[in-house]
Amino acid sequence: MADPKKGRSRSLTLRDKLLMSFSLLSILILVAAAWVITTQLVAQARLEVQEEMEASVPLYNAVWEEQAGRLSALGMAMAGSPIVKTILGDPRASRDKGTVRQMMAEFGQQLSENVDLVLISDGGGIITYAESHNPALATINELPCARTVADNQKPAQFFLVLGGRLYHLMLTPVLTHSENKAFDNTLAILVVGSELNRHMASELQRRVHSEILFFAGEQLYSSSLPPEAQMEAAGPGVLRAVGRLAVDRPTELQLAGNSRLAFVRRLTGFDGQTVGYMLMLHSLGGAGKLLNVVSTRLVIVGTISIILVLGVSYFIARRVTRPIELLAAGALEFGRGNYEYKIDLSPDGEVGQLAAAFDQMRQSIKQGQKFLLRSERLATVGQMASGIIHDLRSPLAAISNAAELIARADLSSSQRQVLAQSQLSASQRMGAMLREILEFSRGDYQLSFSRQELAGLVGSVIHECVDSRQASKVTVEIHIPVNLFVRVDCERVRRIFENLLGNSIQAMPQGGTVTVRAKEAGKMVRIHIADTGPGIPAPLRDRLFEPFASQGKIGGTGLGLAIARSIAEAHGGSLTLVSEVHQPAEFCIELPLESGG
Amino acid sequence: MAGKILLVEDDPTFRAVLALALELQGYLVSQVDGGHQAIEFLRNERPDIIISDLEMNGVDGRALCKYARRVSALSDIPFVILSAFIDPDGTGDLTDLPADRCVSKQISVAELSRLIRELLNGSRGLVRT
Repeated sequence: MADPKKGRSRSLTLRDKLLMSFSLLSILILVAAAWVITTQLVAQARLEVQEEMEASVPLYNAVWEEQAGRLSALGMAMAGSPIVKTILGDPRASRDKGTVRQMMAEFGQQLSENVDLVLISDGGGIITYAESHNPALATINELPCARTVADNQKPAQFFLVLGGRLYHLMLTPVLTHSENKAFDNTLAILVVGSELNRHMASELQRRVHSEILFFAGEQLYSSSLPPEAQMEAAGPGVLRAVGRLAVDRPTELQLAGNSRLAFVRRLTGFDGQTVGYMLMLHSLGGAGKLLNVVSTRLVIVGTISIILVLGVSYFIARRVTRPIELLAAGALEFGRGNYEYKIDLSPDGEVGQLAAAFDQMRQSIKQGQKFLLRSERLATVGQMASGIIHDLRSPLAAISNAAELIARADLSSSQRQVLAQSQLSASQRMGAMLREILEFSRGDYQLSFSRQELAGLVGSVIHECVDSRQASKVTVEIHIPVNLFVRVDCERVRRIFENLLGNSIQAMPQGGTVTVRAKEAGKMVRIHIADTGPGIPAPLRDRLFEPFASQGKIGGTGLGLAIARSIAEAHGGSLTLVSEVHQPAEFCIELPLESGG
Repeated sequence: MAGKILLVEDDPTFRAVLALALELQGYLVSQVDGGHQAIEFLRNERPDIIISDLEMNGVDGRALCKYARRVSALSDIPFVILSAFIDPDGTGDLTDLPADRCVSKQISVAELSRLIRELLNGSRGLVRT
């Protein structure tokens, strides 16, 4: 049968199950932890960027306010200047480019900073003076919004695409008081503007720490992005996304392979319509880099951890399951009837205690078995009490009859001799029978082994123990090699031969031959005893070696063969009937060989 | 007057003692050690009484008794069965045998002699003791 530790190879051992459970659980925990860490990290990074962005917005507002403020101040300064009023109030002077230019030069310094456009229009919106870097402006003569501002007599700022360029415009009316101070006259409208170009975007980017993109309508106008990114940003996908973005709330956007947080502002025109968009972008790439580093570290740590976990799990599983395996092996042996197998475990822990309890059980069952066997034998003897009584009656009767006669005076000395001898032999026989029964009921033999020459042993049995009267009709042939030795308890083994030879001789009252052969067979010696008698009767064959099977035989209790077999088996050998039905009896005894000559 | 007894018994010790006991009573005792030999003997000689053991190898007491009863020349010879199966107080299980008497092996010599005298004097019949 298979080694109990290997067990049934199809199903998993306890150790495998433990190992798999540990490993699986640990891996799951590690993976879960890694996932939690990374998502938390990402979320945190995103949050930080978002906060940064949200912090940038007021910054942007501030910057823009500053910018607008400057333009406004400039406008106010110009509009309030008496020189400007004088020149612009004079129809001739106001149309003279040179004069106006000179007038502008007064404000030269302020004008050059971020001012890409200067226009002067009259109260009707007709442009009287224009100075800018934009050649397309030359074709524009009229500015409708200027007329409205002239009517309102209030400054206004807004965004406008003029001559193909996107401007932030500041319109300031130049007013003059009328004589009766009831209303003012608008002399002219001063228009100053900044182009939302790359320069502006870069300035803003520098101040606000975010990429700035300006969209005119749905087209990308300018940005602070590097050229490749700008090209991508100009693509249709991005523009569509921009149009869908929620205004005034940071939203995520994909651009140039990077995830970015985007913040959109509408650029409104004079009458409130959308002229374009300002997009503020904050890269989440930094977070991504951090994430990569952390992820790599996590993977390395995770892998090492998993290997460690597998190793530790293996050892733990082995430690835990080893005692259980030993216990299982012990239980298996016990189940096979091996009551000698001791489980080698220290009595620590639950499994150790179980093993100790199991061992106690084994001991008591072993004892119980012994007791049971003994009881069985005694019971057998008890059952057959009547049989025993029967078998003892003959010799007893002989003794009592002889005793009755021996006192008579008229006996010849030979007759007296017969009576005395009869008493002796009868009581010896009774003694032998009782000894047999006792031995049988005791069951276990305390054998004392010695080296015996088989031929000599068998020869001596034949000479001493066989009844001479019957034996004279029987021939005994011995075919045993001279130097064949056996390792046996001499006394006990003699009994086997006494029994078998005695049986054979008794079975042939008319005479016959008994043949004894012996030969080596591996570690054993095989001895065949065959006679020429009628053989074993068929109904007796199955029960032949059972106690009291052949009841009523002379000189025996019916235990002879049972005892002979148990002696042979106590030597580690055997005794079997090898002849067939209706054939003369032949027995085979196996006894341990003693090697060496 | 002495009678001729055929004693059929396979236990040699018991047989020797019983034969001597009967001879001392004055009988002529022929001993055989089995049923088979008894039948051989009965071919040539006719005893006055047959005393036989019950359990023997080969032809046992039971078979011998039935045989003796079937053979007309022998059927009137008194037949006594001696058996260790029978308790001294006479209880045993031999009701089917056509023997004249079935007695225990432990019967005393005196008892047995009295019994033989009875049978030889003609008080036969299938009486069980």
